[in-house]
Amino acid sequence: MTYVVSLRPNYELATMYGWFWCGKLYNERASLLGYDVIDLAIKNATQDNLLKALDKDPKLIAGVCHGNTDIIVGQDNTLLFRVGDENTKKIVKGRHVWMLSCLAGQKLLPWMVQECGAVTAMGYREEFVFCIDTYPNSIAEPFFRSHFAGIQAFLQGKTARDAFNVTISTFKKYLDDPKVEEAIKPYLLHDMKCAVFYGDPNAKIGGDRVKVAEVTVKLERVEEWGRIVFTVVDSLTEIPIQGAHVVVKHKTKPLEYKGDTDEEGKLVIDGVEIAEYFFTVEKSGYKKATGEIKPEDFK
Amino acid sequence: MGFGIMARVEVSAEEAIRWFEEVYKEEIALGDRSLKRIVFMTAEGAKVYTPAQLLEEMRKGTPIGLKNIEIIREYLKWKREREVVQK
Repeated sequence: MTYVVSLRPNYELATMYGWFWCGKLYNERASLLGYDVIDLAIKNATQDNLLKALDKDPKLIAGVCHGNTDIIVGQDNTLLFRVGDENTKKIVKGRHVWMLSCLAGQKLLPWMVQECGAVTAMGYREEFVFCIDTYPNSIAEPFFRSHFAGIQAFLQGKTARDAFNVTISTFKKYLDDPKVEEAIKPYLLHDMKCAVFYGDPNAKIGGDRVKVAEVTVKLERVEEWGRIVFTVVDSLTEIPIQGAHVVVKHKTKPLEYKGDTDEEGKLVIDGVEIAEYFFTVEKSGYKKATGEIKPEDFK
Repeated sequence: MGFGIMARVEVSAEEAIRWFEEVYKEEIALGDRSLKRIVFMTAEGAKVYTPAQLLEEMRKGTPIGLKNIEIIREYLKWKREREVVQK
């Protein structure tokens, strides 16, 4: 398994947003891609817990934390990383550190790479600014999506430099989007311009990951019967998986439907009773996928 | 393939403040009742402002007000330079 660390304290307004978006855009994505996420959230966002996490040899440390030129802090402003700190050296050596933390891009992040042996580091060399209205969505979203787009690309196998460029191009995409409020665009541009990257541009997140199949289930009602359409793709490459074995079991009756996906990763099961079902999808080399179907979802 | 001349565009602080007043007109009128906030993640932690408060900071020329003016000036310059190049 390949482990990654998520740092997401939550103790005031900025970290409250960071905690939410980091969970949604980093933790969930990493899990979907087959990584094991060590979630150091809220009171667990401490340096002690980072040191304990080293036992699992995480490849990437990422999160949303307050920072300064030479420090990044966790829950309630407790120390996570500091220039000159021996524990910081131990934690970052041989790893990637990608943090949404203001000002750390000036001194702390380059120090991690140049003096501590971090493989890559990404962050911001000035204050990160974002806009909010109602928690947690709406106008805050483009800021966090832009930042985490690069991390998602890194998790998906892109090189560090290419992944960083995905963050920049996502900021640009929002800046060019007429649907995005003009009022937030100065701050998007500012954040984009102060994003910085250090380290080996060709580095990738290494390690063996269990491959994960992404299963989409479409349910249709055809007169009094139901049709279930499964689509199974590799979550990393999005290439359809042929020969994935699907089993659909009625929740209360001894009724079962089985089949394998075709070259397009599809399996259509027609004429099923409109009812509640469990399903499993299995393919050698992939993590088993499971799910539920409810009668009201047949439309 | 075309040739372009890099356009140099200057934006004054007053212009940046006027842009902010115009774009945030409704929120400024709402004062503290505006749901919109601008969050600066600074070395001292998060600094959170309503548009009305931030306008006041800009007018007073406080450090955060000046920072906001600079961010808007950069944006307006960037936007106009792009418009000139695209024409």
